[in-house]
Amino acid sequence: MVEDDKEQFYGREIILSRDNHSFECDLRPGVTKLDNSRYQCNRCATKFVYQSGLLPRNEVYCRNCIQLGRISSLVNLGTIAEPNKFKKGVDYLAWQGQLTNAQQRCSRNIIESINQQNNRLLWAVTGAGKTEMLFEGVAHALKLGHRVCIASPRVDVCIELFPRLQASFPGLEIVLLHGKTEMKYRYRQLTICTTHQLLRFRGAFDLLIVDEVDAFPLAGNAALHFAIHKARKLQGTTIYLTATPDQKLLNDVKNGDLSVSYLPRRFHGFKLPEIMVKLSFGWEKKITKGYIFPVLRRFLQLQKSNKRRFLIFVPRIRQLPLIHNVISKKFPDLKIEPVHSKDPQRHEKVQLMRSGEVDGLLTTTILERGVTLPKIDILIIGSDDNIYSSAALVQIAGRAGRSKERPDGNVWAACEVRTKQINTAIAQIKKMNRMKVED
Amino acid sequence: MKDFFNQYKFMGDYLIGSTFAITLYTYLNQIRDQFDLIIPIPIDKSTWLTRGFNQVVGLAPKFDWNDILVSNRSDNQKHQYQNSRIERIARNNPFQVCEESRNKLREKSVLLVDDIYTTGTTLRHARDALHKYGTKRIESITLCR
Ligand SMILES: [Zn+2]
Repeated sequence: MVEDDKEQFYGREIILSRDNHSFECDLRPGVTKLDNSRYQCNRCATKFVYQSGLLPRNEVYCRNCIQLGRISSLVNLGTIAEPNKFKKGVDYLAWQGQLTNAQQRCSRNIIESINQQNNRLLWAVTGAGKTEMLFEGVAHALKLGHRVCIASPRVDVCIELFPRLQASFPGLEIVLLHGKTEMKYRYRQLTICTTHQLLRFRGAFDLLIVDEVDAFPLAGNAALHFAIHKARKLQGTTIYLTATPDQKLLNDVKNGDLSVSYLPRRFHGFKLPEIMVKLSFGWEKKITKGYIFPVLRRFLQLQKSNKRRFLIFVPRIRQLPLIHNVISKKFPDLKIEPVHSKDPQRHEKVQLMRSGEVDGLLTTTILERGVTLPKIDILIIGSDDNIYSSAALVQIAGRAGRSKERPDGNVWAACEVRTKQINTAIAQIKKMNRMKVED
Repeated sequence: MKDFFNQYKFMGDYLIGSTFAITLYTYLNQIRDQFDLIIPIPIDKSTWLTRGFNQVVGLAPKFDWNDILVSNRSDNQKHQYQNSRIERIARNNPFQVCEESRNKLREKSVLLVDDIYTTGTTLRHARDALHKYGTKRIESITLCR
């Protein structure tokens, strides 16, 4: 096998047909039979019974990870153990920025974890400058010849991270992998990918950084958690980044299985904007009839007179055109773009917002995490809708006022009732704002 | 439709074929009486090893198909260069009627079923393979063009 082909197998699981024995790699069956009627996929560990995904001639396949290419009893998975064929001792980091004392402490903690090969939770509020805190740790691992991956459940986050890391590590080749990219897989020392893509790896990474561990679709998805486990080497370091750790992570911290670093304040030292509840009864009926409702009118008037840009969150895609119509009618001089998760022009529209060409985005929850837009205010319409978990609300609030010039964004939550989720989110933000920064 | 075939045939999600099944199964049963044999276009050996199912049969797995054609695409193509054009066309035909069914075709009316109509070559080959054994009438349907 030529070296280039071989590289494809380093720390990866490549699908090979069952009769293909010509490769010099470890072969495992695609599917294992557990008993008479149950099988397990060896890529995503999903167990399934005979009936689901049954093929003719008594063959079976896994439907859970089929998006990445079908795993069936007809195939083997080929792997070559990660050889770490990277130059050691190279310092790639060119980033010149300054870390606050609190950020420096977290950054040092990450390096300690890399040296001790233990796992760490980095509990940092949104806007705490998480990415910058990773740089020194990543640089340290690269210098040691480690293979490094930064993974996020969200495509947007990966797309945004890629150019930032390229700029900060100029001599380093980075591969970006997600379902929407044409970029081909390459064997590189640094990988940025979605957590879905981790399913294609096995024992590849010495350092695996998982951003937004609590975000959809990672939260509660057993196969993706298995992927995080599988993609890393047995000896290595996993860093979990989140503003809202779930009970599982908190338990691991409590039991001493996971070290923790705290960063309660945002990087500019200001507090998180608190959520203000604005009761607005019958808003959906009003917008359906083509009328604006008072909270929305007041919000837009404020934005207009203060010349501040904004995000309006809407729980359901079908409500987007209705609200868009109402706003265009009442505020014709405000430039707004509706955008949702299935919008093919999503990235372009976010770009328009970033460059200041539109005044605001009207969006479903998909933008709630990771995408950085400076100096904005937020209105969450229908914040009592059950699609908003308290973690999501905290994240959304964290979008507001992400800059030194204007750290105090407004966050309004329009709702008909104050749900438990809204109350929990408000309490969490207050708690984090009360926390003292330990330096 | 395009999305369906992409997921079903190319990604190999066999199970979603049965969402189609109800319509096709009903239709095939309605026209069952008009034909002696209803034959799916077969897939070759290597497709059995990779896809693992016949995409036509999988669209109505419970239907009583007369699965009497076999395909040996790869074996035939090896010797292409030795033959004249006419021979090549004949030899190029990947389809054969399986042995035990050859004597059952005389004076029979046959319906061929394929999933996607592309050039018509596939159906012509299947037709030629059957015709040799004295069929009376051969018709064909494809599920989408
Ligand atoms: Zn699977």
